[in-house]
Amino acid sequence: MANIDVLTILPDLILIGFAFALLLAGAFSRVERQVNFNMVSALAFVVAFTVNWFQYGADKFGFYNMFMYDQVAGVFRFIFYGIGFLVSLMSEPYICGRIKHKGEYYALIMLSTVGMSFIATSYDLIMLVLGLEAMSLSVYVLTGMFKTDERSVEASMKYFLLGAFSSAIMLLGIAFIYGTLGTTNFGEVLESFKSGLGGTKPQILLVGAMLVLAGVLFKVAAVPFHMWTPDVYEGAPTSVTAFMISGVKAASFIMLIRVFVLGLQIVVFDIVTVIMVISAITMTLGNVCALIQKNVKRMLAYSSIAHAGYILVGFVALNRTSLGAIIFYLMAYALMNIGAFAVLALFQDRGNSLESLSGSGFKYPFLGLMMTIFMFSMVGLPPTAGFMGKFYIFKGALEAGYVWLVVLAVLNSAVSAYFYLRVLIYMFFEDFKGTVRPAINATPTAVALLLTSIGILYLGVFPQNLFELTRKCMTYIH
Amino acid sequence: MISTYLAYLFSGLAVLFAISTILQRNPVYSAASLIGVMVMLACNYVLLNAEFIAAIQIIVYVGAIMVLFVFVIMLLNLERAKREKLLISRRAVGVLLGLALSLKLAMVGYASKILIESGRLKIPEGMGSTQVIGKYLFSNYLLPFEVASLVLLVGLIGAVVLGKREAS
Repeated sequence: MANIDVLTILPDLILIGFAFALLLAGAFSRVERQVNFNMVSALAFVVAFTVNWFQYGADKFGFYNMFMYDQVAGVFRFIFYGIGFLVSLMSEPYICGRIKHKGEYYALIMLSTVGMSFIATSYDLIMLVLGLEAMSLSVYVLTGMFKTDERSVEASMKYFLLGAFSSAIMLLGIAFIYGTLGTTNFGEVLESFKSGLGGTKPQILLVGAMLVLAGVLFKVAAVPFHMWTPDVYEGAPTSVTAFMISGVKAASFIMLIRVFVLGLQIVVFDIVTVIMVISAITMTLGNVCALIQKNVKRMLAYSSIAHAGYILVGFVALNRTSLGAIIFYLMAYALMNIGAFAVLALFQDRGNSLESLSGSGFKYPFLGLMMTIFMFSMVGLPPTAGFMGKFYIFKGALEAGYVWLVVLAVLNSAVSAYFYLRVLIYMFFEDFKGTVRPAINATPTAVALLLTSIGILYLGVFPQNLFELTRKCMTYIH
Repeated sequence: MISTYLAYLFSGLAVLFAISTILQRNPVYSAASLIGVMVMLACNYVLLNAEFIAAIQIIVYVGAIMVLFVFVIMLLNLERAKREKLLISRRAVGVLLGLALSLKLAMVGYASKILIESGRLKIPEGMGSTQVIGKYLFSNYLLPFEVASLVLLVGLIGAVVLGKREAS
């Protein structure tokens, strides 16, 4: 299959082109003043989304089997471009005046999305690693973009060092896998399982798989690789945190699925035993730590650890329902997080303490209503997407017979209601102290808020169509 | 036959340069000795018909990385290193680790010699030559090659964005 099918990466090429254009435009101050960077960026994501819409459906290999575009990859491209679009919309009022080089900001968001898209379409461990690096490097820089803010710089440094370590560990694992099988290509890996190894499973392959798993779980922010999460999510600019918490998380889960369900199928059952324990610890620790947080961003960071635990339950179950549910959950999760962080970003407060939100719910009813929808969805209350996501994941896990894991997850969700609803209690049942004031001229953010809340309610009320789609596209497993 | 003697010559010189690297008091002399090690290794690569690796060794290590080292020495303004009294236990650990590593390398070398002589490990025709590497880089590995350039670009933008001084 010596085909170089350039058209298969067309949406990514479009994004790269727009990113270069923004970088160039940022260099001329006269242009910089006249162009709405966030609108150009949003437009780029809309174009990429549309192109992907027309490509969706057919399975395609390209670039000498380095690349495989299937339906799962297509769905994840939709997710990534959607996230990029919403983040571009919500960023402007928050970074305005704080970041001088807006061209670079939006260009890095686009290039990071391109990296995510390459992860989702990779058919070779080398492509996977390069996609991961393109995504991570951009995010390290975005995290440190508030150069005068100590916490932002510290978060960037911490994330960069730990991220570099995790990448190195993952590369070591890949080296072991290459040493055992003599290839990094998923197709050839599958062939060598059938012919060369003759059903045996060398120990060194397991070692390699575990090291790769460690690298992936670092990005997922699962316990014991979660230490960086609260500091980085708190220190990063709020709009960047929204991007990381939704985009990078989704990319890490497609990486997990792509490596272990599509490629290294032979070790997936050994991996699942490990992940079962990790998911149980991850969701419990995330929720317990979130209980005592006073800072909303930090609380959401711990809650993201807990959510990673729930999603890993879906991976443990390893059937079509649960893997489809993972994709559905990631969509719901992206919507509610971008929404919640958009509200926080609109309040412009760098402290983000719970007290600072006091009484803002009645003072600014639109934002109050939005936050209510997002928090209900995070808890997993019925008319929202969060509920349906959890429902499908638990359904898949029950089908596979992991009753205790589901019971633990439901108990955890009950605990999490305390700290999510506490945000609403502060917003509606405390006196307004006048510490926060939303930014003016924030029409794009309002549009983003409307889109995310409508999305959450739509997925909560009519989840069937989308869930069927995600379940059907998961062709790796029967 | 002559290549064998040359290999011994280059390897011996590499070892001498390596010893000089760790014994020099002045960090700049150490760096210069390290260049010697790198060049001698490159000569050995040429003897092994891996001229591409040899060129890369010179360009990347002798060119780029050594310049980086010298810059660091210059910027940190390192004085002549004081000769520290090392604890005997620490020296023992160092010597033991060094011996273990040498033993390991000798084992790997011996094992691959046996594998090649018994014919179980076959080296493909033209392996390591510039032509073969180039062919792979622009056919099978075309997409990774291009994406790697994207990663480098992101790193470049990041360095400029984060490194630039901001007028407040």
